[in-house]
Amino acid sequence: MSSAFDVPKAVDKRVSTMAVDDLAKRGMRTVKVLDKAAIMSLIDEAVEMVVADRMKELEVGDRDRLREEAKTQFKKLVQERNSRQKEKQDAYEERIEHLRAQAVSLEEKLLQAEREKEEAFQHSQQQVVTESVAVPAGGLDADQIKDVVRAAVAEAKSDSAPASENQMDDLKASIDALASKVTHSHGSKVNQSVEAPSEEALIELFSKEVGEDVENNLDQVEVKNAKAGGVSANLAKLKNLQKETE
Amino acid sequence: MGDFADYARKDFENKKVVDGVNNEENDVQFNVEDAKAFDAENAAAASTPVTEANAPVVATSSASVTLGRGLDVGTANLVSSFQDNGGNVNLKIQRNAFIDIDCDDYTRNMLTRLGVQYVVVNGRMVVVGDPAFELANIFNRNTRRPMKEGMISPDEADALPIEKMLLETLLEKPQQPGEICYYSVPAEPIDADMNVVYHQGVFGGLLKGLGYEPKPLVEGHAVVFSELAEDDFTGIGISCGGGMFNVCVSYKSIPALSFSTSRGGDWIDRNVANVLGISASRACGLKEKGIDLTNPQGREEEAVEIYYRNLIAYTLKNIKERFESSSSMPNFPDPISIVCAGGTSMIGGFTEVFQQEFEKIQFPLAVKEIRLAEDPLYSVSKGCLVAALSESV
Repeated sequence: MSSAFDVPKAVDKRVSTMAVDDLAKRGMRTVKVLDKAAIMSLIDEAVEMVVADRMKELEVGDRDRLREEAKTQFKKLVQERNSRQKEKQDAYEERIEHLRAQAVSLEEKLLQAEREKEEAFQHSQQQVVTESVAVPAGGLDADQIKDVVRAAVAEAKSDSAPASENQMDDLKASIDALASKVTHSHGSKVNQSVEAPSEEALIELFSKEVGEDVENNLDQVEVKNAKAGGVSANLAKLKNLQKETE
Repeated sequence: MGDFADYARKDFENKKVVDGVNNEENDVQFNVEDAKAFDAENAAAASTPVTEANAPVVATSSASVTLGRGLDVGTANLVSSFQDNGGNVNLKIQRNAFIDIDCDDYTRNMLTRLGVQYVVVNGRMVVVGDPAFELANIFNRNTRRPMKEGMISPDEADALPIEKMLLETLLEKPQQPGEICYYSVPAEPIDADMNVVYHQGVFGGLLKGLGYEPKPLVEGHAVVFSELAEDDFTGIGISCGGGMFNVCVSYKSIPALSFSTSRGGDWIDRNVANVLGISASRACGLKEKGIDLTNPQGREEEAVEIYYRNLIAYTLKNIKERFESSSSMPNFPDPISIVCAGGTSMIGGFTEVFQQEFEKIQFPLAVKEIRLAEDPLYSVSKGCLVAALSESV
């Protein structure tokens, strides 16, 4: 109540100020002092008494209606407050999501930069080694892979006696090494393709007849077929529209 | 790729045992692909050709086909279309997903007999299309997806050669060099920091490699071409896809505003999967089994309904904001139609929920109807076909 009606301000407005000497001239020797807190307390007390009396006078139905109205008002206020808080929370979450996405993007860029740096380093190392000693370095080309695999197969075929545990381990190790080189070399290609490709590069990439090299049964199995309503009417209408705009 | 070592090692061990009884017929000529996929099982399979009796063979005659192709490059499905001389639209559909499984002779023969497409890559058998999806559901795994959120997935760069093979199967060779093929691309997303340049370039290159003259068309515009002819190609086309929702506002076939939002059917699958503790592929299966959004039954269907409603509300909110902030919005003299297409719009009760959410917002344009496309799954491909035919015929 006191928050709706500013009691101290109202009191200030209505009081008249008088000098103590003037009061003495009027024969007043003592004055009664009432501070603002006491006034507030008196008003609250009075209002509570009046409300209590009125409540007694109210019908049960009116009292319930009053209670319901108060409850509804309270709920409305709580909902408004919650909704404001939810909006704030959503905004925060959106911001967090955005920042996360930014972080992921930056992380990817960083990784990409690191990979490119590593590739450039390996490329330069490879060039140096090839120019100076002419010995195959880190990344094997297709012919080198063929040679290594042929040699390994020949070794396996020629070895008529059962291989010792050590020999098998050696063979496994060499296969692992080869695999890691193949894997690495393939990975590099993938990473490079993340950069915006030129049209020529794309045509070259997809012009390779992959289907002929890779075992598949795509041409032996029918894909799902369907028929749909014709588009002749759409086509005619579109052409008419194009003519009109010309 | 990490599997290569295991396979090569096993193959060498097998080779040691088999060599004693093997004959010279299987002597292998190695190249890079052979080195990657080198194994005795492959060599054995080469001598076990699949007969016509156990494999349905595609025999599509291209003699009576009109020039010009349409291709919907969707996150969830790839759909190609062409028109025969009788004016019928023929479509080929392939689920844009795959899954890798162990490779052996038995599986290889069984898959072909069952009409399941596969490719052997790096010694692993890659099952493609719808069966991949079914296998993923059986094993409660997720399929691998060449595309994510409407664009080429950076996580699946290895999938590009497979994607090329799928497109070769769907489109076949052009009838003449430089035959026009319109392919769908997403519009620039308004809620994600992505651009479509790379995606568009890759698919353009791919189609050019196949001998076509590739031309990109934004998905929403394709929906306008296929569904809004009666309205003089004026209205709003929305392609509700697996990775995105694509929106195009068109006036007399001219796109006034195109954009996309980065949530689609996959977003629903991911969220339903999270709350139900299942794989996203299974959540997708649940979604596609025939739910009615206006009457969900049980906890699982309720989860699907909740996320669908949220997705539609999210999309409408974004559309409204974009319309209100755009200076290039035309003033339509009459109320317009909104047409929804795409696989994500095919669930029961989609239009009703769309209508309910639409009524909750103050849409900035007068709308006379909200409807579903005649063939929601084929709409984008058909729109691309209309564009291709208009330039080819």
